[in-house]
Amino acid sequence: MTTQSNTMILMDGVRKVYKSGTVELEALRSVSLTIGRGELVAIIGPSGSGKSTLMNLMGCLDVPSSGTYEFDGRNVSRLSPSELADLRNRSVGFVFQSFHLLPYATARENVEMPLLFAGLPAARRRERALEMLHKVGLADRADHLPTQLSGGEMQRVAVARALANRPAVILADEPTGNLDSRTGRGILQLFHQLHRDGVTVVLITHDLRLAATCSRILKIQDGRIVHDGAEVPPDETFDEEDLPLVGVAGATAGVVKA
Amino acid sequence: MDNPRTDKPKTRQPRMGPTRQGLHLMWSQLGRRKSRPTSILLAVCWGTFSMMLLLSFGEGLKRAMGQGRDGLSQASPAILWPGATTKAWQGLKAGRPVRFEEQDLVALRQSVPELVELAAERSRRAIDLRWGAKSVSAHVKGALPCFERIRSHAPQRGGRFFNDLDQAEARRVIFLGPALQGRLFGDAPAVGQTVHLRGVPFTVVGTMVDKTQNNMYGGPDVETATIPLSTFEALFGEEPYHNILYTVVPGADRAEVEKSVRQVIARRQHFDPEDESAIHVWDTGRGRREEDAFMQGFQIFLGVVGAMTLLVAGVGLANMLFVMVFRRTREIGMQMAIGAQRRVVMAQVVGESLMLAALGGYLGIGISWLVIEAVQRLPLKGEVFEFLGRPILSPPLAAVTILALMGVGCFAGLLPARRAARLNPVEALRHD
Repeated sequence: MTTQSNTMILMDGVRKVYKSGTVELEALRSVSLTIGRGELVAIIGPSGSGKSTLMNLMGCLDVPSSGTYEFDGRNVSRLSPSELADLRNRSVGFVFQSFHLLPYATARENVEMPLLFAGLPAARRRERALEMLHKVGLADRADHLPTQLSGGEMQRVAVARALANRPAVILADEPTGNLDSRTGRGILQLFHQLHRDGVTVVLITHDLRLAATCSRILKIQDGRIVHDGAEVPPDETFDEEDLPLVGVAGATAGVVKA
Repeated sequence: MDNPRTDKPKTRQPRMGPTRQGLHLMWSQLGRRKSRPTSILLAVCWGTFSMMLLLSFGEGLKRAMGQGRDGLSQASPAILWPGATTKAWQGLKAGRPVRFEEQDLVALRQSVPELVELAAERSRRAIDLRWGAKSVSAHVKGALPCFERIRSHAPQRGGRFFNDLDQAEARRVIFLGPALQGRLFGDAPAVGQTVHLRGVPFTVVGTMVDKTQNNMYGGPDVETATIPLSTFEALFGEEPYHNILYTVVPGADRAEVEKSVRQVIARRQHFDPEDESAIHVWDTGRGRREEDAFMQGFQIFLGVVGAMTLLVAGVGLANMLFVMVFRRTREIGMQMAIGAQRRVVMAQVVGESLMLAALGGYLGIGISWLVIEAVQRLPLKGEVFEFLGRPILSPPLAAVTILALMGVGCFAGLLPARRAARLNPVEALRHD
């Protein structure tokens, strides 16, 4: 067990129920887990298993229906919408499958957005945004619009935006899902680098080869955690449909880890 | 690579609040999006145009009426005519005519402190007025120097109205209304010329500035020749005054002053002060207040009609903003995910609404200005413009319109902004 000060994410009996009219859908049933500071965790599971719900809760976009969730020692259920927004702004960095960049803003302006919401003045926003773009290898693309960038570059901009306020946790939901295998590997390397820098990284993926590169793998199924370990669960097989993504699965994992 | 946790953002500078953040974001994205809200701009522009134009015509009408009224006087005098008694009083029979005399003026001056100017006039019609070989029939009035102020007898450049010295010495000086001047002199200069009134030579000291006069007694001032009252008496004899005029101190109760004036004259001439027929009083100041109230009401009515058009534009604007919020749902979800406060989201929508209202408003004000300028330059002369007036764009009207626009922009933006700010970020991100 990690000590309290080293625990970044602590969930205890967390349930999430969605109500649609009279129908109740239990997306998460009693999830308990802890993620320590600086861990690199992959969360895998089939679609509809509750992965995204779990990530939304972890990222404080939503609050649990019951159970307790402590983020960096703070009980999230007690926070107001405004405090939650503040927490997301300063402590969480989101990376989405579909990038979610502002289409009419340049790469730099996109990265500046969380800095703007943190209330930083213009000069500091610009300075920090350029620094972050440099970090993801896009220093020379700062004034390009998203439409002028490739998919991989757009996702790098999104990563730079997620990093802008130097969050404690990066949450990535299928970050390579819309990218070809080479580009996806590049993004994955970026996450590994962040991990080495000490950032807590949670990757949500259904790509086992990607998950296999992480030091800890959680599997979620029907709203429950069914596997928690350093290895890919034994019952999982690399799907046919995964193959065109990265070529030979084992080799890819090796390349990224190297 | 450096450790991202080492440098916590700690600035001493004051941080931008959520509203400013939202406005900044709105401003930075302005004009970059593909959708061009042309139809809404046109609607706001049309609403502004209607409101401006109606208000301007109202203002023009008000001023035209005011000018016509000021043709009689800007000082709002009360004008008294002698009547005849209808009630027996102190043993005297009814039916006695009242005659205004100099002693009435003296008594009024002593007894009614609210009076500022006190004047009397006499007049005669169809008097022969001759210049050289040319002769016209004129309405001649004997008046006092204060008529320049209380009866709007403003002299044209190069001339003057007669003064206290002319009155004191009963000089033979004459002041001509512009229409009479035209009949007698044509385009020739009148000031300094000698004219003959009933064969007596007079010097023209001035001619009146042309004016529109909606209210009058005795005849239009532009058709009248005016001479000092003392000169008039010397020429025609000391007959009773035709009228007494007075002005009152600002803020005085005009009805009370009138009552005092009636009492003073009634005491001197021995009639019942309640006998309304003994003296006829036309207090232009009391009519003026009603007229002002009417014009104000009329202008408000016109403004409301214009504002209704603007309101319709506002509904269109709100509708467009709802569509905009719907289209940008994912974007709003993303902003919330990376930490935008609700007020940031609201400020963007309200800010955009105000921008559109301002832009449409500018266009509308600009176009109405052009139209109003054009109407003012129309080479039309005559009754219509003289009495209806031409539209006038005054700064207060523009201010009222701008305020109305801001109100419309604010209210149109508020509901869509609330909807945007209350989006659930999880659902908004999934929206397609």
